[in-house]
Amino acid sequence: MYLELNHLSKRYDNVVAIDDVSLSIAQGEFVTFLGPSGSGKSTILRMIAGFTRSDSGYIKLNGELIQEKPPYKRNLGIVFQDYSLFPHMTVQQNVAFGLRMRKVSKEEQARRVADALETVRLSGYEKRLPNQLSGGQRQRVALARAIVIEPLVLLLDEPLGALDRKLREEMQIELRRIHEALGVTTIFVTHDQEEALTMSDRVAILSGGQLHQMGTPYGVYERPATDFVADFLGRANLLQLAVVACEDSLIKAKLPGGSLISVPAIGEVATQDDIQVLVRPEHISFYPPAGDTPCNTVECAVERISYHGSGAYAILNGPGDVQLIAYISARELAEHGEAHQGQRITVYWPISASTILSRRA
Amino acid sequence: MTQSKSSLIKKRIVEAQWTDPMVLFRRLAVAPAVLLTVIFFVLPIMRLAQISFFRNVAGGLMEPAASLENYTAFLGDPYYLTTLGQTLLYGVIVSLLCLLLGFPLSYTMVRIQTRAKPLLLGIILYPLLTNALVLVFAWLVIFGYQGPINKLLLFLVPSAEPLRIIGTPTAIIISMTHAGLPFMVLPLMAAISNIPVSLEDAAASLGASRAAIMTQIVIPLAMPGILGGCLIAFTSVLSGFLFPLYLGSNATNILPLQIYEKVSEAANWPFGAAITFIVLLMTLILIGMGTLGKDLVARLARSSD
Ligand SMILES: Nc1ncnc2c1ncn2[C@@H]1O[C@H](COP(=O)(O)OP(=O)(O)OP(=O)(O)O)[C@@H](O)[C@H]1O
Ligand SMILES: [Mg+2]
Repeated sequence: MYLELNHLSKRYDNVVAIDDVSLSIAQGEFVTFLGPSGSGKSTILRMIAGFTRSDSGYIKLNGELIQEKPPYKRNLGIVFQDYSLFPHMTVQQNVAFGLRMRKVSKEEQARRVADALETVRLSGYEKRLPNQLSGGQRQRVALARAIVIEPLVLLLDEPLGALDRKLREEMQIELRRIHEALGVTTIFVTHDQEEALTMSDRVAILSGGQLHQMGTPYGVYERPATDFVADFLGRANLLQLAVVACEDSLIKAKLPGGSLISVPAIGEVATQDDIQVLVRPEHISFYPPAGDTPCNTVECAVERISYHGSGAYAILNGPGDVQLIAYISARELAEHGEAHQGQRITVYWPISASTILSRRA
Repeated sequence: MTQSKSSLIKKRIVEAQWTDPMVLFRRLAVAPAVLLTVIFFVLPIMRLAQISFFRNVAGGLMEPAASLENYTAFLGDPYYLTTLGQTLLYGVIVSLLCLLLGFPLSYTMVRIQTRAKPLLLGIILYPLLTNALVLVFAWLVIFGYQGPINKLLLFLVPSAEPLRIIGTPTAIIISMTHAGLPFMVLPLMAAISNIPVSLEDAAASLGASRAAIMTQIVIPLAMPGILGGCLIAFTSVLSGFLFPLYLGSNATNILPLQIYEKVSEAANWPFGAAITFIVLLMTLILIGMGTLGKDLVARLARSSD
């Protein structure tokens, strides 16, 4: 692999910032580190950049151990959350800084700076000072400054954190476009799960300094490895079930209220085990699935409907105090007519849409 | 949303008038300080300006006049002009030494993470917190024939002659640098702590070595503090007479000492006042130059390459 992190750990006094993290990234990949505040995302990025030393483990970049290399010899492009533009330099000088440090000729500097500014669509702003730019423009300058040195890896630490929602979405698309145009291996840090899912080739989910899971957005969303991942990536119904029967590919299990549920079998699950099962709200519907897709059904009472424009979350009370959240699309809602509080309703979800997260014998 | 909020605040500020009790209170609160400054600073200076045009008569008396003879006596006498030059030289040497010592010190003080920071700061700022006379006596002990410096020298080289330090420019420069250091360190620390560490990290990631980070990022951004610190250190030389008085010799030529001698020994108030005004004028010119320098530095930084 292009970039390999091997068993990295880091303590600060009595805080474990990074706990035995190993992962690898292929050349040209767009990988997102996703996790709540304090989960160690920045610390890992700073280790790759060389600002923080790990207590143990090693980092390999392009086959070379870079642990002992000082930051200024690593040739990595970094964009910080606060952009960290040099306030006493113009846009031109900021972007040219890395080239100047590399003793690139004046003519080539001018050419490459112009190219980089064009890539981030900021041509014409060369003479401005950072404090004469908007937040989004500063962000672009920081990006241009990082890509102009043709870095081995581009490290982006919550670069969109300070932008408002609309600008943020624009910049997400822009970042993907730039990544595709340059093909540079990119690590993007965010604590916004939607941003992580829409932008990345792969997502690494961190919590408490540990790597919980790394996979494609679809993979981590639909097949989370832990209940933390399931819960952190969008809304989740986490059902506690008792296994009553195991068949070849199907497990039959009971909700606390007694309803029987079928779950696709994975791993070794035996009768009498307690299992935790994830069902995403989008898979739960007021209607049975089309065709003869095998599905689970549960009788519920509507507790509350909260509208979100494109659809609504229905909070439902199932048998035995089980609470379910279903996401009902606007179309389905229109067909069904308005559901009111206390209304009895049957909900359905395809058997294949449930995932076993954990098992306790 | 935020637009309307800020315009609301602006409106409130505009509306705030004398009738507003808060505004009234704020204006009354600064009144004592303004009054004190006028009584104990502005009025005496105006009186001093007046005296500098008076004529000295024997016996420490003076005669009201509007003559420039004190000024022409100063500017026409090579002895005083040499003194002026010497004073400026002392000022330059002391500020440069303060800067050379103070910059690494301030940088380390700002960036270092240690619980001993307040203690270190206390040691550096100590000259500010104590009477200059106490410092003078400390230096008299340290520099003396029996002082620690000569004891160490004789311990290392038993055959050596004890050094005569008191009465030399070295003693004056060392003591004034020590006293001026806090004036350098305070504005420098303020300036450096305004430079986010992430700027240095960003520069490093772009390929800048430690030296390049210092010359390209830290020093240019700390320039207001550097200029401010040099200015105050320089003026501390222009105003300090205790160090040259006790640690210098008869040959020491420095303006503050001249003022002291004219006033307290020769009892020539008008001439002392005139020298005071020349020093004051120099200080003002320096401050002007410093302010212009700041603008110039900012403009140069922008237009370079
Ligand atoms: N220099 C430091 N000294 C002490 N503790 C630190 C230091 N840097 C990080 N930590 C701790 O390490 C843990 C991980 O911090 P890190 O900055 O990597 O989190 P993060 O995932 O980037 O969070 P955020 O989303 O808030 O930026 C936190 O508990 C933090 O308090
Ligand atoms: Mg962070």
